[in-house]
Amino acid sequence: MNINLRSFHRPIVKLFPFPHPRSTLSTMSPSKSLPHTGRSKRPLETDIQTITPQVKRVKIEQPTYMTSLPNELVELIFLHLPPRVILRCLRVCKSFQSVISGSPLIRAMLHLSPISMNPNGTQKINPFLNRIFPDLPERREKSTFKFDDLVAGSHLVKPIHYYATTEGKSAIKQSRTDKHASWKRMSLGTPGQPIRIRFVRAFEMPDGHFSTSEWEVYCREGLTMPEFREIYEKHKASQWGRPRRPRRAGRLTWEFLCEDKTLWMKNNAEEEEHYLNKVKQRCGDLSSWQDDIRIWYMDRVPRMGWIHTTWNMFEDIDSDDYFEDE
Amino acid sequence: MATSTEAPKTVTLTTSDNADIQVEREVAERSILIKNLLEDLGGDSNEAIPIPNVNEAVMKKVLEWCEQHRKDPPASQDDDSDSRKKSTDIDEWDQKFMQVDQEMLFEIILAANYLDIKALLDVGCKTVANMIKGKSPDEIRKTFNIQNDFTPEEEDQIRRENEWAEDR
Repeated sequence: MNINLRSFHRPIVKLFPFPHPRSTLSTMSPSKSLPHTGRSKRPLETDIQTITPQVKRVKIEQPTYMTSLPNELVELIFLHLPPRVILRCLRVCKSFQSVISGSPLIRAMLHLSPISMNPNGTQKINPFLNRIFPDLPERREKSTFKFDDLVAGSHLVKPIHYYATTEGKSAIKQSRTDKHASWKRMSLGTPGQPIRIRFVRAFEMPDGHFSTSEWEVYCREGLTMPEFREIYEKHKASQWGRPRRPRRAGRLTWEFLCEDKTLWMKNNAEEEEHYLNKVKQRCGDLSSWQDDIRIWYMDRVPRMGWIHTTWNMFEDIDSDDYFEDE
Repeated sequence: MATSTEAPKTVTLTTSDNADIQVEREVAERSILIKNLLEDLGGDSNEAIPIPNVNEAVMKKVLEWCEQHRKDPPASQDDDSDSRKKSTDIDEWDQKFMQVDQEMLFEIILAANYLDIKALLDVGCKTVANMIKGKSPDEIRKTFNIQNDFTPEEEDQIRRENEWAEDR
């Protein structure tokens, strides 16, 4: 009997070399590495029809080690790692670096380049957001990111916290002035996917009425982290009717509408959620707002110039040392 | 075609080192490669199926897994519900199964890929991923016997670019 194995052989991972040049994360210039609208050059992994399997397993004399696995299997392993660990693996050896830099799936996981222009593509927020913007509210227990990776299906990836040690702080601070810091090439949402951010500022008047103002940002091609930072900074610098205390916010809540309506709040979550609901009622019909992220600043207007707040004013959310660089 | 009341059908697999392994067809069919082969051969072939990329030791190990998971529902291409778990979640039996030396572990991954057993490939990759987590680059190199082929300058540059992401 003569069975032609080739015709049956359908390995799960197609052992193709990556088609695009092995430019590495560390040597790519920012402009090259974040093609906002570019398509991934490689077809989707799941396109089973395109397989022309080519397993050429060379007889290996030495034992099989990690480095003797084909790149495509190493990629599959990396796809089970959290983004932070993937960045650490870049440093292990050149072959790891080239697998990570050359894989559209991993690059998508790191918010570096779009995986495809999937029309049903959902917006995913960069899990490094909290790390890069330490002035963001704390993530609460119930806040989790849902993260899809196309190989393993979707699983939960927790947002990565700001590391509040002295060394952690100084590493973040240094990265802000370092042009090559890898987060500067990352995207806020899914790369290439449109993103809509709405800043809402609500003042509670001494008589109990609310006055709200909104500011909307829509970007059809998505936003890189540095672009978003600029917008965030600009927004905060605008004085929003409180010229004397431009940078204070009584309550600051981030709402991630694209990700199971996750809320990030600064302090007492229960109290703030209650207050947020109160503000939302005053805003009328929110269902017409098609936002991915909503940033709420909620303040009380002091009576007669005196502060009559029943809750503590927070520390300046972006106290002096945050946006000073560049 | 199928005769229903007889003893379970078996197939014979010939491994790369020319060992014949007899195994129940249902077990062998956890491998999509073998399943497709058998389908293409028609129902009742008794001929041995050559598996030239997998040796006897690895094949036996893989079949042990297939035996344990013979009744698992087949994974469909786009059914994510099963893999919604965290990546660290590995079935207890699978965890024990994967307690092998590294060479065997990587051989299993290669075989699972070749034989097209997605669930086993996933378990293998997760196992290796768990070995990477929580380790420094140097510890990763030691664990997997990897040579650091960066110059100190190169390594330093990558470290600086990604330092912000590290916990310390």
